[in-house]
Amino acid sequence: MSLLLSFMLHAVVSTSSPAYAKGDDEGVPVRVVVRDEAKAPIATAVVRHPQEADRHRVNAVDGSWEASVLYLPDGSELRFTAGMTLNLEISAPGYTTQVLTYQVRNRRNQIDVTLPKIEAEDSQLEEPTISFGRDEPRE
Amino acid sequence: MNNLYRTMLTGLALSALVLPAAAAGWQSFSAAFPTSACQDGWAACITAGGAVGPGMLHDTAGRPIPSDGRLGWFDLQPTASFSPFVGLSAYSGPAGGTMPAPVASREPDPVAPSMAPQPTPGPDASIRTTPGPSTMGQPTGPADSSVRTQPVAAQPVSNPSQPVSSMPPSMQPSQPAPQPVAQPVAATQPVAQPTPISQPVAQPAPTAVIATSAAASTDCTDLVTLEPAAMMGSLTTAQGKCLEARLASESQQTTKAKISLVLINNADGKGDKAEWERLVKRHLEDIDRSDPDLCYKYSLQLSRGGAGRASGVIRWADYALENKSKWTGTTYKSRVFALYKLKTEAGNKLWQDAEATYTTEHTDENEAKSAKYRGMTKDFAREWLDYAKASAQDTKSAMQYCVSAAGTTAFCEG
Repeated sequence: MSLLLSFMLHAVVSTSSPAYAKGDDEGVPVRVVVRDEAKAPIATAVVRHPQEADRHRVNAVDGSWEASVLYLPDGSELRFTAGMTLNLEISAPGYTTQVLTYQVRNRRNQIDVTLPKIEAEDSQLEEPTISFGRDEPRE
Repeated sequence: MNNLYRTMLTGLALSALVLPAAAAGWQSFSAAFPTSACQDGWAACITAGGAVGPGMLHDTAGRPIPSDGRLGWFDLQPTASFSPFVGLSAYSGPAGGTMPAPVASREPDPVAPSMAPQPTPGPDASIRTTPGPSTMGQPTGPADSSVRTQPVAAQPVSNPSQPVSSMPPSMQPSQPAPQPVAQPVAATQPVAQPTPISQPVAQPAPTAVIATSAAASTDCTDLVTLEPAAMMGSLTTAQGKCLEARLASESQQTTKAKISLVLINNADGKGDKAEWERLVKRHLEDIDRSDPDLCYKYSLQLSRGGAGRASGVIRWADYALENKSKWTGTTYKSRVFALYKLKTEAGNKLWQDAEATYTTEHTDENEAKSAKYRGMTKDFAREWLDYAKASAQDTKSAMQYCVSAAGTTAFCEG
Protein backbone atom coordinates (compact mmCIF):
# COMPACT_ATOMS: atom_id res chain seq x y z
CA MET A 1 0.00 0.00 0.00
CA SER A 2 2.71 2.41 1.00
CA LEU A 3 4.57 1.51 -2.16
CA LEU A 4 1.53 2.34 -4.23
CA LEU A 5 1.10 5.66 -2.48
CA SER A 6 4.70 6.63 -3.05
CA PHE A 7 4.37 5.88 -6.77
CA MET A 8 1.25 8.00 -7.04
CA LEU A 9 2.88 10.84 -5.16
CA HIS A 10 5.89 10.74 -7.43
CA ALA A 11 3.66 10.84 -10.48
CA VAL A 12 1.80 13.88 -9.23
CA VAL A 13 4.95 15.72 -8.29
CA SER A 14 6.64 14.90 -11.54
CA THR A 15 3.83 16.07 -13.80
CA SER A 16 3.32 19.34 -11.93
CA SER A 17 7.01 20.26 -11.93
CA PRO A 18 7.63 23.72 -13.47
CA ALA A 19 11.02 22.65 -14.70
CA TYR A 20 9.50 19.88 -16.70
CA ALA A 21 6.92 22.22 -18.23
CA LYS A 22 9.49 24.87 -19.13
CA GLY A 23 11.80 22.47 -20.96
CA ASP A 24 8.96 21.23 -23.04
CA ASP A 25 7.48 24.64 -23.96
CA GLU A 26 10.40 27.01 -24.43
CA GLY A 27 13.03 24.87 -26.06
CA VAL A 28 16.66 24.42 -25.26
CA PRO A 29 18.56 27.62 -24.52
CA VAL A 30 21.43 28.47 -26.84
CA ARG A 31 24.04 31.04 -25.88
CA VAL A 32 26.31 32.86 -28.32
CA VAL A 33 29.31 34.89 -27.16
CA VAL A 34 30.86 37.24 -29.72
CA ARG A 35 34.44 38.38 -29.32
CA ASP A 36 37.06 39.97 -31.47
CA GLU A 37 40.45 38.49 -32.24
CA ALA A 38 41.84 39.89 -28.99
CA LYS A 39 39.15 37.96 -27.11
CA ALA A 40 37.41 41.17 -26.11
CA PRO A 41 33.62 41.15 -26.30
CA ILE A 42 32.18 43.08 -29.24
CA ALA A 43 29.53 45.30 -27.75
CA THR A 44 27.96 46.22 -31.07
CA ALA A 45 27.53 42.68 -32.41
CA VAL A 46 24.16 41.35 -33.47
CA VAL A 47 22.81 37.85 -33.98
CA ARG A 48 20.19 37.00 -36.54
CA HIS A 49 18.52 33.91 -37.87
CA PRO A 50 18.29 33.90 -41.69
CA GLN A 51 14.50 33.65 -41.57
CA GLU A 52 14.12 36.43 -39.05
CA ALA A 53 13.51 40.08 -39.67
CA ASP A 54 14.96 41.37 -36.42
CA ARG A 55 18.56 41.43 -35.31
CA HIS A 56 19.33 40.65 -31.70
CA ARG A 57 21.93 42.78 -30.01
CA VAL A 58 24.37 41.06 -27.73
CA ASN A 59 24.95 42.09 -24.17
CA ALA A 60 27.23 45.08 -24.41
CA VAL A 61 29.24 44.02 -21.38
CA ASP A 62 30.10 40.43 -22.14
CA GLY A 63 29.11 40.16 -25.83
CA SER A 64 26.63 37.35 -25.19
CA TRP A 65 23.17 36.59 -26.50
CA GLU A 66 20.91 33.79 -25.34
CA ALA A 67 17.56 32.49 -26.53
CA SER A 68 15.58 29.28 -26.73
CA VAL A 69 12.92 30.40 -29.16
CA LEU A 70 12.74 32.81 -32.07
CA TYR A 71 9.68 34.51 -33.54
CA LEU A 72 9.54 34.44 -37.31
CA PRO A 73 7.89 37.10 -39.52
CA ASP A 74 4.92 34.84 -40.32
CA GLY A 75 4.04 34.66 -36.63
CA SER A 76 5.34 31.17 -36.06
CA GLU A 77 7.80 30.25 -33.36
CA LEU A 78 11.08 28.49 -33.83
CA ARG A 79 11.92 26.56 -30.72
CA PHE A 80 15.35 25.20 -30.25
CA THR A 81 15.24 21.52 -29.64
CA ALA A 82 17.97 19.03 -29.10
CA GLY A 83 19.26 17.67 -32.36
CA MET A 84 18.02 20.46 -34.56
CA THR A 85 20.43 22.31 -36.85
CA LEU A 86 20.55 26.00 -36.19
CA ASN A 87 21.80 28.66 -38.62
CA LEU A 88 22.80 32.06 -37.28
CA GLU A 89 24.45 35.13 -38.79
CA ILE A 90 26.66 37.07 -36.43
CA SER A 91 27.80 40.50 -37.51
CA ALA A 92 29.12 43.78 -36.16
CA PRO A 93 30.04 47.06 -37.80
CA GLY A 94 33.63 46.89 -38.96
CA TYR A 95 33.84 43.13 -38.60
CA THR A 96 33.50 40.31 -41.07
CA THR A 97 30.14 38.60 -40.74
CA GLN A 98 30.17 34.96 -39.70
CA VAL A 99 27.47 32.48 -40.58
CA LEU A 100 27.45 29.50 -38.26
CA THR A 101 25.68 26.19 -38.37
CA TYR A 102 25.20 24.51 -35.01
CA GLN A 103 23.57 21.30 -33.92
CA VAL A 104 21.65 21.92 -30.70
CA ARG A 105 22.43 19.64 -27.80
CA ASN A 106 20.38 18.86 -24.69
CA ARG A 107 22.38 21.29 -22.58
CA ARG A 108 25.50 23.41 -22.47
CA ASN A 109 24.79 25.06 -25.78
CA GLN A 110 27.37 27.82 -25.72
CA ILE A 111 28.91 28.98 -28.98
CA ASP A 112 31.98 31.20 -28.97
CA VAL A 113 32.30 33.25 -32.11
CA THR A 114 35.33 35.31 -33.08
CA LEU A 115 34.82 38.06 -35.62
CA PRO A 116 37.87 39.26 -37.56
CA LYS A 117 38.08 42.93 -38.40
CA ILE A 118 37.64 44.02 -41.98
CA GLU A 119 41.10 44.99 -43.13
CA ALA A 120 41.46 48.53 -44.43
CA GLU A 121 43.70 48.58 -47.49
CA ASP A 122 44.70 52.21 -47.46
CA SER A 123 48.07 51.64 -49.06
CA GLN A 124 46.49 50.45 -52.26
CA LEU A 125 44.93 53.79 -53.01
CA GLU A 126 46.97 55.89 -55.37
CA GLU A 127 47.37 59.58 -54.64
CA PRO A 128 46.96 61.77 -57.69
CA THR A 129 49.26 64.67 -58.46
CA ILE A 130 47.46 67.98 -58.49
CA SER A 131 48.31 69.93 -61.60
CA PHE A 132 48.59 73.67 -61.85
CA GLY A 133 45.78 75.65 -63.38
CA ARG A 134 47.06 75.97 -66.89
CA ASP A 135 44.79 76.93 -69.74
CA GLU A 136 47.02 75.11 -72.19
CA PRO A 137 50.37 73.40 -71.98
CA ARG A 138 53.34 75.74 -71.97
CA GLU A 139 55.66 75.40 -74.95
CA MET B 1 81.39 37.22 -125.39
CA ASN B 2 83.02 40.48 -126.14
CA ASN B 3 79.60 42.04 -126.40
CA LEU B 4 78.75 40.77 -122.99
CA TYR B 5 81.89 42.29 -121.42
CA ARG B 6 81.24 45.52 -123.22
CA THR B 7 77.69 45.66 -121.91
CA MET B 8 78.84 44.97 -118.36
CA LEU B 9 81.54 47.61 -118.52
CA THR B 10 79.10 50.15 -119.87
CA GLY B 11 76.65 49.32 -117.09
CA LEU B 12 79.31 49.69 -114.42
CA ALA B 13 80.44 53.00 -115.85
CA LEU B 14 76.87 54.29 -115.85
CA SER B 15 76.36 53.12 -112.27
CA ALA B 16 79.47 54.90 -111.16
CA LEU B 17 78.08 58.08 -112.62
CA VAL B 18 74.55 57.75 -111.29
CA LEU B 19 75.10 56.44 -107.75
CA PRO B 20 76.87 59.46 -106.27
CA ALA B 21 74.14 61.71 -107.61
CA ALA B 22 71.48 59.52 -106.09
CA ALA B 23 73.33 59.34 -102.80
CA ALA B 24 73.47 63.10 -102.45
CA GLY B 25 69.97 63.48 -101.10
CA TRP B 26 68.50 65.80 -98.52
CA GLN B 27 70.14 63.82 -95.76
CA SER B 28 73.47 65.36 -96.56
CA PHE B 29 72.09 68.81 -95.78
CA SER B 30 71.15 67.93 -92.25
CA ALA B 31 74.75 67.12 -91.52
CA ALA B 32 75.89 70.37 -93.01
CA PHE B 33 73.34 72.44 -91.13
CA PRO B 34 73.02 70.87 -87.70
CA THR B 35 70.37 72.10 -85.31
CA SER B 36 72.83 72.16 -82.43
CA ALA B 37 76.11 73.40 -83.75
CA CYS B 38 77.65 74.07 -80.39
CA GLN B 39 79.07 71.53 -78.00
CA ASP B 40 76.76 72.51 -75.19
CA GLY B 41 73.61 71.98 -77.19
CA TRP B 42 72.90 75.50 -78.27
CA ALA B 43 72.17 76.26 -81.90
CA ALA B 44 74.67 79.07 -81.86
CA CYS B 45 77.44 80.29 -79.65
CA ILE B 46 80.57 82.32 -79.60
CA THR B 47 83.79 80.41 -79.36
CA ALA B 48 87.42 81.24 -79.59
CA GLY B 49 87.13 81.10 -83.32
CA GLY B 50 84.21 83.45 -83.43
CA ALA B 51 80.50 82.82 -83.75
CA VAL B 52 79.34 79.33 -84.56
CA GLY B 53 75.87 78.86 -85.96
CA PRO B 54 73.98 76.23 -87.85
CA GLY B 55 75.46 77.43 -91.14
CA MET B 56 78.68 76.34 -92.79
CA LEU B 57 82.15 76.96 -91.39
CA HIS B 58 85.35 77.05 -93.36
CA ASP B 59 88.63 75.35 -92.76
CA THR B 60 92.08 76.93 -93.01
CA ALA B 61 91.99 76.72 -96.78
CA GLY B 62 88.56 78.21 -96.99
CA ARG B 63 86.77 75.00 -97.81
CA PRO B 64 83.27 74.74 -96.33
CA ILE B 65 82.81 72.28 -93.52
CA PRO B 66 79.80 71.50 -91.31
CA SER B 67 79.65 73.71 -88.29
CA ASP B 68 79.48 70.79 -85.86
CA GLY B 69 82.67 69.28 -87.19
CA ARG B 70 85.45 69.33 -84.67
CA LEU B 71 88.23 68.89 -87.19
CA GLY B 72 88.66 70.04 -90.73
CA TRP B 73 88.00 67.32 -93.26
CA PHE B 74 91.03 68.02 -95.40
CA ASP B 75 93.57 69.54 -93.04
CA LEU B 76 92.54 67.90 -89.75
CA GLN B 77 92.88 71.25 -88.06
CA PRO B 78 90.67 71.94 -85.06
CA THR B 79 87.58 73.97 -85.80
CA ALA B 80 85.82 76.50 -83.61
CA SER B 81 83.73 73.81 -81.99
CA PHE B 82 86.60 71.48 -81.34
CA SER B 83 86.56 71.24 -77.58
CA PRO B 84 84.05 68.83 -76.03
CA PHE B 85 84.72 70.14 -72.53
CA VAL B 86 81.84 72.51 -72.51
CA GLY B 87 78.78 72.21 -70.35
CA LEU B 88 75.55 74.13 -70.37
CA SER B 89 76.16 77.55 -69.05
CA ALA B 90 74.03 78.55 -66.10
CA TYR B 91 71.46 81.27 -66.40
CA SER B 92 71.77 83.49 -63.41
CA GLY B 93 69.91 86.54 -64.56
CA PRO B 94 66.50 87.48 -63.26
CA ALA B 95 63.42 85.69 -64.51
CA GLY B 96 61.54 87.32 -67.32
CA GLY B 97 64.47 88.14 -69.52
CA THR B 98 65.42 91.47 -68.06
CA MET B 99 69.12 91.20 -67.66
CA PRO B 100 71.86 93.61 -67.03
CA ALA B 101 74.21 94.05 -69.91
CA PRO B 102 77.72 94.01 -68.55
CA VAL B 103 79.32 95.46 -71.59
CA ALA B 104 82.81 95.58 -70.25
CA SER B 105 82.93 91.91 -69.55
CA ARG B 106 81.97 90.99 -73.07
CA GLU B 107 85.11 92.15 -74.62
CA PRO B 108 86.64 89.28 -76.46
CA ASP B 109 89.91 87.92 -75.40
CA PRO B 110 92.66 89.16 -77.70
CA VAL B 111 94.26 85.77 -77.56
CA ALA B 112 91.05 83.86 -77.95
CA PRO B 113 90.61 84.07 -81.70
CA SER B 114 93.20 81.41 -82.13
CA MET B 115 91.42 78.25 -83.09
CA ALA B 116 93.87 76.05 -81.29
CA PRO B 117 92.01 73.78 -78.90
CA GLN B 118 92.04 74.73 -75.26
CA PRO B 119 92.00 71.56 -73.21
CA THR B 120 90.85 73.32 -70.08
CA PRO B 121 87.35 72.82 -68.70
CA GLY B 122 84.84 75.08 -70.32
CA PRO B 123 87.07 76.94 -72.74
CA ASP B 124 84.14 77.84 -74.88
CA ALA B 125 82.32 79.64 -72.12
CA SER B 126 85.37 81.40 -70.80
CA ILE B 127 86.58 82.56 -74.16
CA ARG B 128 83.32 84.21 -74.85
CA THR B 129 83.41 86.55 -71.93
CA THR B 130 86.73 86.63 -70.18
CA PRO B 131 88.27 90.04 -70.18
CA GLY B 132 91.84 88.93 -70.38
CA PRO B 133 94.07 86.10 -71.42
CA SER B 134 94.84 85.09 -67.89
CA THR B 135 91.32 83.88 -67.33
CA MET B 136 91.13 81.61 -70.29
CA GLY B 137 89.73 78.25 -69.50
CA GLN B 138 88.11 79.41 -66.28
CA PRO B 139 84.40 79.62 -65.74
CA THR B 140 83.12 83.13 -65.64
CA GLY B 141 80.27 84.86 -63.93
CA PRO B 142 76.89 86.13 -64.96
CA ALA B 143 78.28 88.11 -67.84
CA ASP B 144 79.13 84.87 -69.46
CA SER B 145 75.61 83.65 -69.05
CA SER B 146 74.21 86.78 -70.50
CA VAL B 147 76.18 86.21 -73.60
CA ARG B 148 74.76 82.74 -73.83
CA THR B 149 71.26 84.06 -73.82
CA GLN B 150 71.98 86.40 -76.64
CA PRO B 151 70.01 85.29 -79.68
CA VAL B 152 73.03 84.57 -81.74
CA ALA B 153 71.16 82.14 -83.90
CA ALA B 154 69.08 84.97 -85.25
CA GLN B 155 72.14 86.59 -86.71
CA PRO B 156 73.83 85.48 -89.87
CA VAL B 157 77.00 83.57 -89.29
CA SER B 158 79.50 86.18 -88.40
CA ASN B 159 81.96 87.15 -91.04
CA PRO B 160 85.24 85.66 -90.03
CA SER B 161 87.16 88.07 -92.12
CA GLN B 162 85.76 91.00 -90.18
CA PRO B 163 85.27 89.71 -86.71
CA VAL B 164 85.25 93.13 -85.16
CA SER B 165 82.53 94.55 -87.33
CA SER B 166 80.42 91.45 -87.14
CA MET B 167 80.41 91.52 -83.38
CA PRO B 168 78.24 93.74 -81.29
CA PRO B 169 79.95 96.94 -80.27
CA SER B 170 80.10 95.83 -76.71
CA MET B 171 82.01 92.74 -77.71
CA GLN B 172 84.54 94.40 -79.89
CA PRO B 173 88.06 94.07 -78.58
CA SER B 174 89.82 97.17 -77.48
CA GLN B 175 92.80 96.31 -79.60
CA PRO B 176 93.02 94.52 -82.93
CA ALA B 177 92.78 90.88 -82.37
CA PRO B 178 94.61 88.32 -84.40
CA GLN B 179 92.52 86.86 -87.12
CA PRO B 180 91.42 83.32 -86.65
CA VAL B 181 93.31 81.01 -88.89
CA ALA B 182 90.25 79.27 -90.12
CA GLN B 183 88.39 82.35 -91.21
CA PRO B 184 90.03 84.30 -93.97
CA VAL B 185 88.13 82.60 -96.78
CA ALA B 186 84.85 83.84 -95.52
CA ALA B 187 85.63 87.30 -96.80
CA THR B 188 83.24 86.68 -99.62
CA GLN B 189 80.37 86.28 -97.21
CA PRO B 190 78.12 89.21 -96.48
CA VAL B 191 79.07 91.21 -93.47
CA ALA B 192 76.76 90.68 -90.61
CA GLN B 193 75.21 93.73 -89.06
CA PRO B 194 76.06 94.26 -85.46
CA THR B 195 73.27 93.53 -83.13
CA PRO B 196 72.84 95.60 -80.00
CA ILE B 197 73.68 93.24 -77.23
CA SER B 198 71.87 95.28 -74.68
CA GLN B 199 68.58 93.67 -75.71
CA PRO B 200 68.95 90.10 -74.66
CA VAL B 201 66.09 87.75 -75.15
CA ALA B 202 65.63 85.22 -72.42
CA GLN B 203 66.26 81.73 -73.63
CA PRO B 204 64.67 78.74 -71.98
CA ALA B 205 66.69 78.31 -68.86
CA PRO B 206 67.05 75.23 -66.70
CA THR B 207 64.17 74.69 -64.32
CA ALA B 208 66.27 74.80 -61.21
CA VAL B 209 67.58 78.17 -62.18
CA ILE B 210 64.08 79.52 -62.62
CA ALA B 211 63.08 78.04 -59.30
CA THR B 212 65.97 79.75 -57.60
CA SER B 213 65.31 83.08 -59.12
CA ALA B 214 61.57 82.82 -58.52
CA ALA B 215 62.12 81.85 -54.94
CA ALA B 216 64.38 84.79 -54.43
CA SER B 217 61.89 87.26 -55.79
CA THR B 218 58.78 88.53 -54.08
CA ASP B 219 56.99 89.14 -57.33
CA CYS B 220 54.01 86.87 -57.82
CA THR B 221 52.49 88.13 -61.02
CA ASP B 222 53.83 85.37 -63.23
CA LEU B 223 52.42 82.19 -61.76
CA VAL B 224 54.18 79.94 -64.26
CA THR B 225 57.59 80.97 -63.01
CA LEU B 226 56.50 80.21 -59.46
CA GLU B 227 55.41 76.68 -60.27
CA PRO B 228 58.80 74.95 -59.94
CA ALA B 229 59.40 76.56 -56.58
CA ALA B 230 55.87 75.71 -55.49
CA MET B 231 56.36 72.09 -56.44
CA MET B 232 59.43 72.00 -54.26
CA GLY B 233 57.57 73.76 -51.45
CA SER B 234 60.14 76.53 -51.51
CA LEU B 235 57.99 79.61 -52.01
CA THR B 236 59.01 82.29 -49.57
CA THR B 237 56.71 83.73 -46.95
CA ALA B 238 56.68 86.99 -48.86
CA GLN B 239 55.63 85.20 -52.02
CA GLY B 240 52.95 83.35 -50.11
CA LYS B 241 51.60 86.61 -48.76
CA CYS B 242 51.76 88.15 -52.20
CA LEU B 243 49.75 85.27 -53.62
CA GLU B 244 47.22 85.48 -50.81
CA ALA B 245 46.81 89.18 -51.44
CA ARG B 246 46.33 88.54 -55.15
CA LEU B 247 43.81 85.84 -54.36
CA ALA B 248 41.83 88.20 -52.16
CA SER B 249 41.76 90.97 -54.73
CA GLU B 250 41.38 88.90 -57.87
CA SER B 251 37.98 89.07 -59.50
CA GLN B 252 38.33 86.31 -62.07
CA GLN B 253 37.49 82.89 -60.70
CA THR B 254 39.86 81.10 -63.09
CA THR B 255 42.79 83.21 -61.98
CA LYS B 256 41.83 82.65 -58.38
CA ALA B 257 41.92 78.94 -59.02
CA LYS B 258 45.39 79.18 -60.54
CA ILE B 259 46.74 81.15 -57.60
CA SER B 260 45.15 78.80 -55.15
CA LEU B 261 46.65 75.78 -56.90
CA VAL B 262 50.12 77.28 -56.65
CA LEU B 263 49.62 77.70 -52.90
CA ILE B 264 48.22 74.18 -52.60
CA ASN B 265 51.17 72.68 -54.45
CA ASN B 266 53.57 74.65 -52.30
CA ALA B 267 51.98 73.29 -49.11
CA ASP B 268 52.08 69.80 -50.61
CA GLY B 269 55.73 70.22 -51.54
CA LYS B 270 56.54 71.30 -48.01
CA GLY B 271 54.68 68.33 -46.60
CA ASP B 272 52.53 70.62 -44.46
CA LYS B 273 49.36 68.53 -44.38
CA ALA B 274 47.40 70.84 -42.10
CA GLU B 275 48.06 73.83 -44.33
CA TRP B 276 47.37 71.72 -47.42
CA GLU B 277 44.01 70.68 -46.00
CA ARG B 278 43.11 74.27 -45.15
CA LEU B 279 43.99 75.50 -48.63
CA VAL B 280 42.24 72.64 -50.42
CA LYS B 281 39.13 73.12 -48.30
CA ARG B 282 39.07 76.79 -49.21
CA HIS B 283 39.68 75.98 -52.86
CA LEU B 284 36.88 73.44 -52.99
CA GLU B 285 34.44 75.41 -50.90
CA ASP B 286 34.97 78.87 -52.35
CA ILE B 287 36.70 78.65 -55.71
CA ASP B 288 36.31 75.48 -57.72
CA ARG B 289 35.26 71.93 -57.04
CA SER B 290 35.20 70.63 -60.59
CA ASP B 291 38.60 68.94 -60.41
CA PRO B 292 37.93 65.29 -59.54
CA ASP B 293 41.60 64.72 -58.73
CA LEU B 294 41.56 67.36 -56.04
CA CYS B 295 38.23 66.19 -54.62
CA TYR B 296 39.52 62.65 -54.59
CA LYS B 297 42.79 63.56 -52.94
CA TYR B 298 41.03 65.63 -50.31
CA SER B 299 38.59 62.84 -49.63
CA LEU B 300 41.50 60.43 -49.31
CA GLN B 301 43.23 62.74 -46.87
CA LEU B 302 40.07 63.09 -44.77
CA SER B 303 39.61 59.33 -44.74
CA ARG B 304 42.77 59.01 -42.66
CA GLY B 305 40.95 60.70 -39.81
CA GLY B 306 38.24 59.37 -37.56
CA ALA B 307 34.48 59.28 -37.70
CA GLY B 308 34.28 63.03 -37.29
CA ARG B 309 35.65 63.52 -40.80
CA ALA B 310 33.72 60.69 -42.40
CA SER B 311 30.91 62.95 -43.60
CA GLY B 312 33.50 65.05 -45.42
CA VAL B 313 34.93 61.95 -47.03
CA ILE B 314 31.52 61.02 -48.41
CA ARG B 315 30.79 64.55 -49.55
CA TRP B 316 33.98 65.08 -51.51
CA ALA B 317 33.97 61.57 -52.87
CA ASP B 318 30.53 62.32 -54.26
CA TYR B 319 31.82 65.51 -55.91
CA ALA B 320 34.70 63.58 -57.42
CA LEU B 321 32.29 60.97 -58.74
CA GLU B 322 30.21 63.72 -60.33
CA ASN B 323 33.20 64.57 -62.52
CA LYS B 324 34.54 61.08 -62.97
CA SER B 325 34.10 61.41 -66.74
CA LYS B 326 37.31 63.44 -66.79
CA TRP B 327 39.19 60.23 -66.11
CA THR B 328 39.77 57.54 -68.68
CA GLY B 329 41.04 54.00 -68.89
CA THR B 330 42.76 52.47 -65.91
CA THR B 331 42.74 55.80 -64.08
CA TYR B 332 38.97 55.83 -64.29
CA LYS B 333 38.72 52.28 -63.04
CA SER B 334 41.07 52.68 -60.11
CA ARG B 335 39.76 56.08 -59.01
CA VAL B 336 36.09 55.20 -59.16
CA PHE B 337 36.78 51.97 -57.31
CA ALA B 338 38.74 53.89 -54.69
CA LEU B 339 35.99 56.48 -54.28
CA TYR B 340 33.33 53.84 -53.67
CA LYS B 341 35.68 52.23 -51.20
CA LEU B 342 36.26 55.52 -49.40
CA LYS B 343 32.53 56.15 -49.17
CA THR B 344 31.82 52.69 -47.81
CA GLU B 345 34.55 52.88 -45.23
CA ALA B 346 33.41 56.32 -44.18
CA GLY B 347 29.83 55.10 -43.84
CA ASN B 348 31.08 52.18 -41.80
CA LYS B 349 32.95 54.51 -39.47
CA LEU B 350 29.82 56.55 -38.92
CA TRP B 351 27.83 53.41 -38.29
CA GLN B 352 30.37 52.06 -35.82
CA ASP B 353 30.41 55.35 -34.00
CA ALA B 354 26.62 55.53 -33.83
CA GLU B 355 26.44 51.93 -32.65
CA ALA B 356 28.94 52.61 -29.92
CA THR B 357 26.92 55.61 -28.82
CA TYR B 358 23.71 53.64 -28.81
CA THR B 359 25.32 50.86 -26.82
CA THR B 360 26.14 53.24 -24.03
CA GLU B 361 23.03 55.37 -24.34
CA HIS B 362 19.87 53.60 -25.39
CA THR B 363 17.72 56.34 -26.83
CA ASP B 364 15.41 56.34 -29.82
CA GLU B 365 17.44 59.09 -31.42
CA ASN B 366 20.65 57.13 -31.16
CA GLU B 367 18.99 54.04 -32.46
CA ALA B 368 17.61 55.92 -35.43
CA LYS B 369 21.01 57.38 -36.16
CA SER B 370 22.60 53.98 -36.00
CA ALA B 371 19.99 52.54 -38.33
CA LYS B 372 20.50 55.43 -40.74
CA TYR B 373 24.26 54.97 -40.95
CA ARG B 374 23.91 51.25 -41.22
CA GLY B 375 21.60 51.69 -44.18
CA MET B 376 24.03 54.18 -45.67
CA THR B 377 26.91 51.74 -45.32
CA LYS B 378 24.82 49.00 -46.82
CA ASP B 379 23.98 51.11 -49.86
CA PHE B 380 27.54 52.34 -50.36
CA ALA B 381 28.90 48.82 -50.04
CA ARG B 382 26.39 47.55 -52.52
CA GLU B 383 27.37 50.29 -54.99
CA TRP B 384 31.01 49.45 -54.51
CA LEU B 385 30.34 45.77 -54.90
CA ASP B 386 28.34 46.29 -58.09
CA TYR B 387 31.05 48.46 -59.61
CA ALA B 388 33.78 46.04 -58.60
CA LYS B 389 31.88 43.23 -60.25
CA ALA B 390 31.17 45.24 -63.37
CA SER B 391 34.78 46.36 -63.76
CA ALA B 392 36.23 42.95 -62.91
CA GLN B 393 38.01 44.15 -59.78
CA ASP B 394 38.42 42.65 -56.33
CA THR B 395 35.05 42.21 -54.60
CA LYS B 396 36.21 40.73 -51.30
CA SER B 397 36.22 43.84 -49.14
CA ALA B 398 33.08 45.24 -50.73
CA MET B 399 31.28 42.00 -50.03
CA GLN B 400 32.47 41.97 -46.42
CA TYR B 401 31.16 45.48 -45.78
CA CYS B 402 27.94 44.73 -47.58
CA VAL B 403 27.22 41.57 -45.62
CA SER B 404 28.25 43.25 -42.39
CA ALA B 405 25.83 46.11 -42.89
CA ALA B 406 23.02 44.13 -44.43
CA GLY B 407 23.34 41.34 -41.89
CA THR B 408 22.67 38.82 -44.59
CA THR B 409 24.43 37.55 -47.65
CA ALA B 410 21.21 37.41 -49.61
CA PHE B 411 21.09 41.19 -50.08
CA CYS B 412 24.63 41.37 -51.44
CA GLU B 413 24.68 38.30 -53.59
CA GLY B 414 21.41 39.07 -55.29
